[in-house]
Amino acid sequence: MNGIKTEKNDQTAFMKEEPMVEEEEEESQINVFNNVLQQMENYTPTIPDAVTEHFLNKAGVNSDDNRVTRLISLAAQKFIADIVNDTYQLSKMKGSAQTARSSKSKEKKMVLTMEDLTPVLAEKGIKVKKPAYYT
Amino acid sequence: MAAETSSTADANHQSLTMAVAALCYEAGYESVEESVMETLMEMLQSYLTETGRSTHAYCELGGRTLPTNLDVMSAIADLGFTPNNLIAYMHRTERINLGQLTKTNETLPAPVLQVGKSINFPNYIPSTFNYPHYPDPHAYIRTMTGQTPENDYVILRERTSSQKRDVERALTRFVAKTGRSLPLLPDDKNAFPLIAAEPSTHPYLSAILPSDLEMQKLMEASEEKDNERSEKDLGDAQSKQKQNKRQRPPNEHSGSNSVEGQTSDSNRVIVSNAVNPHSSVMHNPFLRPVKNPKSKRK
Repeated sequence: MNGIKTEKNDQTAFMKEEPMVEEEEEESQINVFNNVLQQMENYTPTIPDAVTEHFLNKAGVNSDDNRVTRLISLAAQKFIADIVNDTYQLSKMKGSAQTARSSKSKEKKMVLTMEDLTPVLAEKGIKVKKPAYYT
Repeated sequence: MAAETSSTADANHQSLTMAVAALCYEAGYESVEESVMETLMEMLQSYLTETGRSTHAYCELGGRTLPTNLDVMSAIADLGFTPNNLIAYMHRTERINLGQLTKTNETLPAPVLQVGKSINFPNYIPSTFNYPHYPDPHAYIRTMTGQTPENDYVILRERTSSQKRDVERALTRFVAKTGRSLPLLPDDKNAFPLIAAEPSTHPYLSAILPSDLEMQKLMEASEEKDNERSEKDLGDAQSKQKQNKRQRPPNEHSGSNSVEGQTSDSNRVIVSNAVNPHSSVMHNPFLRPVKNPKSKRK
């Protein structure tokens, strides 16, 4: 009987732990955000505030709080930066495969091309089809 | 408004393009294709707009108007944002800092200098309508042309008399200057020129011969008789007209023969016209003598 009770106790204890873990994750995320928000007062993202405010006004957001605007611009900026970084990695992988065959050369000029961008966007679920040239 | 929106849209476009270019440069790229730039710019724009929309939706869901931290968080979480490396990203070393944009006030078009007050609209146009105003009243000034006629009798009488005197003086001077003239004053020969009288060789002829006016009346009277006769006798009209015309030239031919030297030009003209009653002249309508309309008194 003791064994069974302990098992039950263990189970319930285990059950309680999972939501605890999730809540902790959420709290940590919320803490992260709060932390970021507090830091936003001194941080200027790459996208200027006026531009972000213009687009937010277009969407209907009237924000007097500077930090909220900067948080949104930071999130957008990170979004684009992630894509660009993935493209960079992809192009480097392709380039390294070619240079390994040909010869050792210094870093060539890296050009962000449509060919590299398309698969990266496809992974994210964005299908891009653009004409290669205008006739 | 259109110009304003296009200029602000252009400004935002350029700023976003610069931001995307900065991000690419941070990643290590040196150049970017144009189509790639456009794509990334569109994505960034739509991301910002969508984030703003979701934030606003969450905010209104909570019964607020000002978005808070949690609203933003929920919105970007909806868009698939994972805040794992956010702080690390924030403090990246190679970050480029573009300057903040300063908002400048839109310069209104310089107000046109308004002189005077423009005319109001008619009463059937409500004042709430935003019609452009009438132009300044100086833009459609009307100056009456011509002069108001004088009504004063004294002034008009004086004007007519002076005009008559001036006309007479001018005409006499003209004839004196162009024709033979005699000076009035012996000293100044050009001051008062007089028309020199030309003595005629046969002074009594002017008394005997009919004047121009009398000649005209005679012609009219004879033509009236001719018209009456032509109506009565259609068949003999031409012959009788010819007879009449033949009768006339002998009368005047004697007169013209006796006259030598100076005769008035108008007499010569009438004589020459009557002397040539050829049939060809009759057939040519432009050479026929003038037929006055039939007078009503019979």
